[in-house]
Amino acid sequence: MSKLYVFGIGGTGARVLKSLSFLLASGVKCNSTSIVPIIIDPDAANGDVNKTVDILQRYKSIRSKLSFDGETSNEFFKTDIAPLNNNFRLNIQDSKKKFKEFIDFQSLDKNNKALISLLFSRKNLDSNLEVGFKGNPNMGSVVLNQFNISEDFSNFASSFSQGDRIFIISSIFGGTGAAGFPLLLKNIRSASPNLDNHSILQTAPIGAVSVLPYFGVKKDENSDIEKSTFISKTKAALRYYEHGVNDSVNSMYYLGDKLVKDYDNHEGSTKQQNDAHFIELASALAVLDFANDTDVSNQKVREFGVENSNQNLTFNDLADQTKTDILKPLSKYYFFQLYLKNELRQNLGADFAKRLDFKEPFLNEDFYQKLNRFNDYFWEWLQQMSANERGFSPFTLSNDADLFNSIKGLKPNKNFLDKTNNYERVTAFLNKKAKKMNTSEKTENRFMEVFYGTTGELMADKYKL
Amino acid sequence: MKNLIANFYEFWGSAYLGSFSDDMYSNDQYFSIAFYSIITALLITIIYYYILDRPGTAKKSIWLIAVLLGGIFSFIIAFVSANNGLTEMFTAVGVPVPPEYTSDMLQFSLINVFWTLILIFLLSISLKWKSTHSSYIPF
Repeated sequence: MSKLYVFGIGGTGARVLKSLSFLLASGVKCNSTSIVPIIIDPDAANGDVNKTVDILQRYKSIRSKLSFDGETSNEFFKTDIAPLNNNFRLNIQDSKKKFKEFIDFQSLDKNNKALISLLFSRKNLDSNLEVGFKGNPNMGSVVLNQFNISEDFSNFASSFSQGDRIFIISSIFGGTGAAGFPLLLKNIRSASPNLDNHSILQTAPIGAVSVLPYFGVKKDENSDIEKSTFISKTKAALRYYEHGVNDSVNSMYYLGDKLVKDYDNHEGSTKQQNDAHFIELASALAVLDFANDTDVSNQKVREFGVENSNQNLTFNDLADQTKTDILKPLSKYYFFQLYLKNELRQNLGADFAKRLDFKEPFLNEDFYQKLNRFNDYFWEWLQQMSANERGFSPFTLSNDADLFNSIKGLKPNKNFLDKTNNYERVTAFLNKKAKKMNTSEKTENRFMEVFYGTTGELMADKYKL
Repeated sequence: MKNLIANFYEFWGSAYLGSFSDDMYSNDQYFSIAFYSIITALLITIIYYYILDRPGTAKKSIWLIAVLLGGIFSFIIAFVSANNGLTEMFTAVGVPVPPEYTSDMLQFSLINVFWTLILIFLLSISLKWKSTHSSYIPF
């Protein structure tokens, strides 16, 4: 029973965890029995982080109502997400003050103050750490260098056991991720003897994705974040990683893109809510690639490629392996959430709903409400990836169009003997599936089972998948 | 069997229509009309639950339309068969069908509709279980 601890550092780390949770919800294969997401970001109000925490909490709550014993074939929400604490964060101590207070600048002697002034600008020193490091890894490397005294880090070490793995997600061109990744790695590889399981940690399989620049920010005179520094920061960090990082990880994934879109320039806090991007989905796939890798004893460096580098990618533009991994699960979940959004309430009188006892009160229960909200996030994620540059728009994302024509590049099989089409065909398949099901299972299990099985049968019926 | 069917159509005497009922009985009209009405009820039920069967038709309103169609067919079967049979019988002896028989035929046809509707309902209850999409129709 191996666990995969996934550290998501900074805004990019949080967004990749968001993509990962949607992949897991749709049943993309993950060989780890549970994922332990740990978000590291001193920016307590960061919009991206808070949204990810909400999504992870909903995932966990939905999954807690489901059972995955031998009786069920459902793989929606199959992988357990087991946080170290309720807010999924590794809390950084003393991060709610100005940087100069954090380093106790006032108490330094004249020479040290001069040295500090060489390394940090006045703006750096006056920066409030509550909104992160605003793209300054030199600050991050000081503040984050205290993992080993954090209570959450101790808890992480205590829960770690033989066979578990670690994955670290960070961006290389910002502040928090670029600084946090090497520090976290150092604190794991040279885990203090005071920590439980320190010897297991020191030799644990570690994978990491370092995301190269994949978005820009608009010019803003009042912001410390400047996109022209992204490439130079990346180069500097890569030079350091070559000797200080690559040798310490078992599998290193580098991801990036030439096409970049400029986002609104927000230094942090609630306004930092970048749109979802395909690179974050590819990074989440790196996490799963590491989780599913049967041999992580040798050092590997991996990159991600697509078959056609179109401005707007569809499933057909992905490499064969990626397509095999995600086409069917994501399409199944897409159909599932569309049916729930557009059809379920009107079909509570249908045969499958009567047989499996899905009634109006079930739709008002906490389980369904959480699933509904989770699915809204899923829809928003697809919409944002579709509108981004480079875009990933595998679905038409239309509530009105014919369901079976909604997977771009896939032509549905048509049989002139078919009595039903569109959503009615889904209901017909739900009715057939429900007839073969065990009705003694819990309602939540029956609900997921009938939709998982039905969407699978529809994939075979319509697309031979 | 002949007497049993006659009892159904005459409600065990309470819907006995005098010479019309006697003529229907003696001309074996009851049996053939009952036979065709049973076939109609069976066909309507099978078509609804197993041939038309799809989520879009699994609604009480559609089932009621099917039942209503069954009623209309059974009315036509009863009226036309009775009229043809009796016309043939009276023509053979060279007299016209008594004019009061028209209202008797209407009443008889309505009784046939009544029994056909009951039969469709009973067949629905018996046959719905194996239907893929309509096993909870009418309830």
